This record gives sequence, structure tokens and C-alpha cells, in this order.
Amino acid sequence: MLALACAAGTLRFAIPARNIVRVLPRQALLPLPTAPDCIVGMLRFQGQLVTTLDLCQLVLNRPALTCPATRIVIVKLAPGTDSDSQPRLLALIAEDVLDLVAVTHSEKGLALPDAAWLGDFARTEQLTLQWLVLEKLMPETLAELSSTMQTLLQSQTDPLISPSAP
Amino acid sequence: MFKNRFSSRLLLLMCLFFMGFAGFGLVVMRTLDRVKVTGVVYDSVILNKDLIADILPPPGYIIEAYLLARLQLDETDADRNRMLQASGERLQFEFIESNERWRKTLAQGELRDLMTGAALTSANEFFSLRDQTFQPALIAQDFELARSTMAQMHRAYEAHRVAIDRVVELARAQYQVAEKQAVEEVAASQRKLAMIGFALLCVVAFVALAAYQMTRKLAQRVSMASTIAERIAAGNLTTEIPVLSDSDEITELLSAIGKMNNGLKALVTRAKQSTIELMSTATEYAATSRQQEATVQSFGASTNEIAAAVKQISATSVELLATMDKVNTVATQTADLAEQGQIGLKSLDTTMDKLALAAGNMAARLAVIREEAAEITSVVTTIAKVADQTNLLSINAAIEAEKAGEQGLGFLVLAREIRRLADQTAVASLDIEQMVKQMQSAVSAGVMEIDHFAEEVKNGVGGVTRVGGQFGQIIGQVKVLSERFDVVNLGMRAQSQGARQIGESMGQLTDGARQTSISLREFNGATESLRDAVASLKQEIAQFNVGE
Repeated sequence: MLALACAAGTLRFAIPARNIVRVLPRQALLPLPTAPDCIVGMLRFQGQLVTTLDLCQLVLNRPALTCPATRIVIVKLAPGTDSDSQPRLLALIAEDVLDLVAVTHSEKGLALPDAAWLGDFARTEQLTLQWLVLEKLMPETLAELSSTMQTLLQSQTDPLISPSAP
Repeated sequence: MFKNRFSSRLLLLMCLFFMGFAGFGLVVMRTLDRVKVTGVVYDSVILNKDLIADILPPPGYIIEAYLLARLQLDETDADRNRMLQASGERLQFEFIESNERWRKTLAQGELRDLMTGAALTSANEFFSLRDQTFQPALIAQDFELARSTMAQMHRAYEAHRVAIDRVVELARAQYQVAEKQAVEEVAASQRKLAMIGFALLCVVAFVALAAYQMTRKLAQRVSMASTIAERIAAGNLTTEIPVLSDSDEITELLSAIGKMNNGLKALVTRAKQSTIELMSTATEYAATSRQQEATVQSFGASTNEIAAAVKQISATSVELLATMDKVNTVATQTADLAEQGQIGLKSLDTTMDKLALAAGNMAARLAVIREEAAEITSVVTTIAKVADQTNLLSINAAIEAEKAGEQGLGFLVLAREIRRLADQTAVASLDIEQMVKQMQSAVSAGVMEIDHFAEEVKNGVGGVTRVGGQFGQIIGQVKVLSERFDVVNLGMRAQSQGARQIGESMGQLTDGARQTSISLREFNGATESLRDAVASLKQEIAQFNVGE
């Protein structure tokens, strides 16, 4: 099973390749005032506005380093309740997004109630990573909100929200 | 004055005692004299006399002679008659003797008159009748006459008996009166004796009491005096001598002890004060002498130091003299060398100019290198960017290939190869960047060094010019110095000689100081011994406590 290796500081995570829509270099985001620290802004992608989450902020309480290996990974989440809509997207800012790895098998880890987004351990030939449970990354209230906002954005094109400069 | 003295009191007591005994003895003697009749000795004497008087026929009474005459009248035997006659004559003799004795003994009175009067005449009549008529009648055996005479004799005897009876009566009466008197007198004497005895007992008791009190007082005071004396002997002169109101020998002794104590106290106090003064004087002496000694020693040390210093000065000036000579020659040589240096410096000046020019060229070339390095850096950055984008592209391609499943498998491998190449490019570009950075920093350092060098070369040119000027000055001054050295040389020599003379004088002074120091030390020792003596004296005196 192919997975994208990424990191937050020294912690190494794996994102399933099937869930990944695109890997992008870092770029300017639409700011979201009064949002939680880990939600760093909105990203325009293929005509959609995608909520962007900083993995380092979530895990280590510090922003991601500014260097070429720090990239934006756009993932698609499991489809919501209304099946007619497009699959929901989420943009993740992670460090050391440089390689794809083949995961040979998974192992059960410790399920922490405060960090539900931490999945099982993923073993490759060289190293051990930890799966990210993408659906649990967003705080629940925000997840609700973003889904409604996405539907709203789908219905009408707001002239105020202009595409950001790459 | 003698009233309270123990001796006078004792004398008084003795007198009292003696007088009491004398009175007692007198009374006893008189009593004995008066009533000695009733004594035991007297009784034994009287008893025997009474016994004899009871047994024997009474010599003062002629009853036996009468009875014998009667017996003679009836006796027929001549021999027995003669024996009776002899007895009668003996009895007569005894009667006369007894009567004579009583006449002498008895006091004038009725009793004596009776004894010497009626009794004696009747007895005499009886005896004369018997001797003159009766006896011859018997011898003649005329019994008629004898009987008639006997009748006459009987009458005489009767008269005698009457007189004697009267005497006996009188004597008994008298004797009874005397006995009664004697008994009374004895009783009176006994009372008197008892009284006197009681009085004597009283006197004895009083004397004993007085003696006891006196001895107690005496003992008390003597012990007090002895205690005080012991304290004084132990050296405690603060003892308070009690002043007693009454005056006797012990009080005098106490006052004498007090005077002695005061005298001792004054003496010891004076001695103590003198000792303290002496001690302080000795200490002062010692201190002064020690100070003087120290002064002398320091003086000696100072002179020694001065002498040494002077010697050193002398030696130094000699050395200096030699050095001066050397300096003189060296100065001359220096002047020569300086001239040569001046010439050398001029050639150095031109070389320096050339060096500065070369440094300027080098700096310009280094600047060119720096610019080129910057260009390389920009190229490398571009390469790195390209590598990064290639990596990203390969990741996205691989993801897409994964999504395509089986068909994308070959593309997945290709994407991985592209990614590896991109990584290698990135690493290589990083290495190049690193090297270029090092080169740039080296070039910067080189430029700075060259600038610094050029600056120094410029300074060096200025310095060489200055040194050349200074060499000129040195040459001028050395020449002047050379002349002055001669003057200094002369002065040095004079100084050396003077220092030697001072050194000799200092040596003499040091000897003097040493001698003084020795005498002072001796004096110090004497003072020490004086102080020791005073200290021991003080210790001796300290045994006396004068209450200070």
C-alpha cells in the first residue's frame, strides 16, 4: 500500500496515497480570523475553497518551518451524509513531504481519546510511521461548519472571494 | 581599778571561804567545849567509874567501917579481929582522903558545907570512938565497954548517915538540873551548827557559781583572744578587735592584740604600697631599658644598613665607572651603526612603495572573483528550485499512477526514478552552494587581509621615514653624550672615595652601638632580678590581708 511520508518535527506520519488529491508547494492562504490555532486559512483549489490545517500547530503547537520540503497536501475525506455533493477536501501543511513509501503492514497503537486522529502504526522496510486518521483531524464543530460553508460556496459564486495569487 | 580583776575576785572568794570556815570552826570549838560531858569518850570513862563506885563500898560513906566494927564485936578470934581492924583503918584513911578531895573539888555551897561539916564531924567522932575506946576495949576483951562504945558509935554513924543522905539528895538534885541544862544547850548548839552549816553551804554554792561564771568568762575571752591571735598569725589583719566595757587582764590582752594588729596592718600596708611603687619603678626601669636597648639595636641595625648601603654605593659607583667606559665605547659604535642604518633605510623605502602597488592589484583581482562567485550562487539556486519542483512533480505523478491502479504501475517506477534524480540534484546543488559560500568567505577574508597589508605597508613607509630622521638625531646626541661621560666619570670617582670613608665611620659607630647594647642588656638583667625580688616580696606581703 502506497503512502506519503510526512513529518511534524521529529514525529513521522503516513497519509494513504489513495486519499491524496494533490501535493502543492506552499502558497499564500486566505486568512481566517478567530479560527483555532491549527486552522491557518483557506486555500483556493480547482475552484473550491479548502480549509487548511497546520499539522505542526496541531501536534507541536508551533507553525511549520518555512523551507521547500514543507508542502501542502490536499486530501479528500470520506463523503458526507448528503451523497450528491462532491467529496470534501482538506489541505494539510506538513514538513518533509519528499517521498512516497510502500507500507508493508499495519499494527495497532494506543487509542488516545484526546487525539483521535492518531491511527495505527505503519511499517515499511526501513522505518515505522503512524497513520493519520484524516476524518478526525478537524475539530468536530469546525468540520460541520466547513461542510455547510462548502455547500454555500457551491450554490453561489461570491465575488468577494477572489482566487489567491500562486 | 582592782574591782573587776580576776585575781582580786579570786582573792575575795578565798577570803569569803576562809571567813566562813573560820566562823564555822569557832562555833564548833565552843560547842565542843561546852557540851563535851555528853561525848562518847566521856561516857566510857564515866561508865567505868560508875561501875567501880557501884561495886566498891563508898569511900565517902562510913557504912562499911560501922559494919566492920559490928563484926569485930561478935568476933572471938583474935587474928580475924586484927584483920578487921586493919580493914577499918584502911577505910578510915580512904574516907579522909575522899573527903579531902571533895572539899577541894566541890563548889562553895550547902553541899560542900554538909560534906566538910556534919558528915565529917560525925565520921571523925565515930572514928575517934572506935580507935580510942572500942578497939582497946576489944583488945582488953572488955565487952561491956565495947558494947556501950558501940552504942555511942552507932549514934555518930546515924548522924553521919543523915548528913550523907542529905548530901546525896542535894547532889542528885544538882545533877538533874545540870543534865537538863546540858541537853538544852546541846539542842541549841545543834540548831546553831545547822544554821551555820547552811550558811556555809550557801557561801560554798555562791563561791562555786561565781567561780564557774568567772572561768566561763575567762575561757570565752581567752578563746576569743586566741582566735584573733590565730587569725593575725595566719596573716588576716582585718580582724575586728571587740571593745569590752569591763576591764580585766583579757581585755588588756585583747587591746594589746588590737594595738599589735593595727601596728602590723599599718606596717604591712606601708610595705605593700612600697612594694607596688617599687614594682612599678622596676617595671618602668625594665621598660625604659628595653626601649633603650631596642633603640640602640635599631640604631645598630640602621648603622649596619647604612654601612652596607654605603658599601654598595661605593661598589656600584666603581661598577658604574666601568660601565660608563663601556657605554662610551658602545655609544661611539652606535653612532657608526646609526649612520649605516640611515643608508639602509633609504633602499627599504623604495621596496615598500613597490609592495603597496602589488597589494592594490591583488585586491582588484579578488573583487572580480567575488562577483563571479555570486553569479555561481544564483545559478545553483535555480538548479535547487528545479530539483524541488521535479520532486513535487514526481510525487504527484506517483499519486496519480497509484490511483490508476494496474495501468499506472510502470509510471510509478518512473516517477520514483525521477524523484531520486531530483534528490541527487538537490544534494549536489546544496554541496555546490556550500563550496561557493566557503569560497566567497575566503575571498572576503583575502580582500580584507590585502587591504590591511596595504595599510601597513603605507604606515611602514611613513615609519621608515621617521626612523631615518630619528637615526640622525641619535647620531647627534651620541656625540654630545660622549663628551658628558668624561665629566660624569670624574664625579663618580670622587663619590666612590667619599662612600668608602663614610663606610669606615659607620663601622666605628656600629661597634659603639653594640657595646651600648651589651651594657643595656646587663642593666636589663639587673632590673629583671630586682623585679623578681620585689615580686617575691609582694607575694610574701600578700599573705597579709589588710582589707583593701
